[in-house]
Amino acid sequence: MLPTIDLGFVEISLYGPIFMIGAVIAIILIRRLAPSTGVDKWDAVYAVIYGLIGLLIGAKLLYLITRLPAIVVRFDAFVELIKKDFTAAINFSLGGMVFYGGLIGFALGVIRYCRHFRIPVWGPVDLYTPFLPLVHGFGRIGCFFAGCCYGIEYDGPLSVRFPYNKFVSKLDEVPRFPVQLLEAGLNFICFAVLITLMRKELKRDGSERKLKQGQLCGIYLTYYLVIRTALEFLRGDEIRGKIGFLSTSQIISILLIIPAVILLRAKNREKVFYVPETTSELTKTQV
Amino acid sequence: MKNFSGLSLALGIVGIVLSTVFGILFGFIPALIGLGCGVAALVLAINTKKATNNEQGTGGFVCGIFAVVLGSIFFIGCLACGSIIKDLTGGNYGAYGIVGGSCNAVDDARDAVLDTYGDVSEEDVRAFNDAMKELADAFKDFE
Repeated sequence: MLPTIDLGFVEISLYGPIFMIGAVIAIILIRRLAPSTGVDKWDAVYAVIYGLIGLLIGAKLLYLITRLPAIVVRFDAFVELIKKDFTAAINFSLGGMVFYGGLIGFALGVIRYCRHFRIPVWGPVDLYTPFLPLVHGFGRIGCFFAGCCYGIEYDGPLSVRFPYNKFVSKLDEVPRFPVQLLEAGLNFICFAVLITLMRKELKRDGSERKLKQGQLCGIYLTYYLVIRTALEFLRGDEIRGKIGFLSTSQIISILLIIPAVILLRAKNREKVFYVPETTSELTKTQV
Repeated sequence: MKNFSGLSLALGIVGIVLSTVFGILFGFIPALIGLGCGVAALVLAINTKKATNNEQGTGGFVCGIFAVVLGSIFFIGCLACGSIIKDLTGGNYGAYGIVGGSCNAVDDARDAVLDTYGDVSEEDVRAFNDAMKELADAFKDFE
């Protein structure tokens, strides 16, 4: 719709600023909620920053992995491309991001921070979980403006005719299903449900809480696996890669079923937002 | 845990300068290095803040955030701009900033289109080229 804004000396892609707005809103809300969950407000912010660094690396790395088969099959041509046009080679191999790579990278970043500074990991995990779909929803709105992650050809109610987009060559050829907005809406619904669950649990005393550590994350992961698998059939961009009849994201969704089940089961875990009272209990809850 | 406040501040400032000034002048490579400096500044600043109970490291933290944000903007902006210019002109412009010639190439490409086709939009040029291609394909079938 509006892929870039021209500031005169540079053209900025709208995706980044829209994503940043979502991230900033999430960080502000996380910092406000952190004390009531037993997480230090500064630890909450610093762990998010580690997580965002991991998100950037993970999203780019997984995008590179999806491009590897094409690079390997035509390796000589890729080497020639690097020599003739380094920009195009970088664009081809690192020009996009994959959500699942970002999610895994974010989790690893947060875990790294918690292990380094000896903080129980479940507190930040349960605190951040409701805000993941919030930020992702903003990201999908950014995708709608940027014209990436577009939908299948569709000429019914609510179809969208994108204008000519110099970054995405096939976007304007046909009317399309606004899958980005649908996914953003589903993410915002998920955020509303998770934040309501979280606030309900926080109002209860520790021993009366119904959820256990990690179950909020398990609920989110299960929900997202299902909707992403379904929404992939409404995606029209071939660039995301396919293996057989399944897209890369659908395969990753299937692989993430086991971690989702493990998180939902919550075997041998404390109640959600459990705050250890003694040092020995603190040691037990560390990863 | 050690105090890296000086180093994080230095890295943050270097990151900002690389991302903005050198990013505009030389394109995406300095912007990427600036982004990396920003990340390093942030990590060191957080370590410093944890070691000093948030008393030190704020300068490096703030500069690191600016370096990461500005580095991302100029890295992505330069790469995107460079790839479009290649498509439009078929020339050897890359994402190498003003000194590299990329920033001038946008104007050169626009001037080239206007000289050839007069006062028409990019979409019109594209549509014209597509129509000419279809016509050429149709003549091939006819032959």
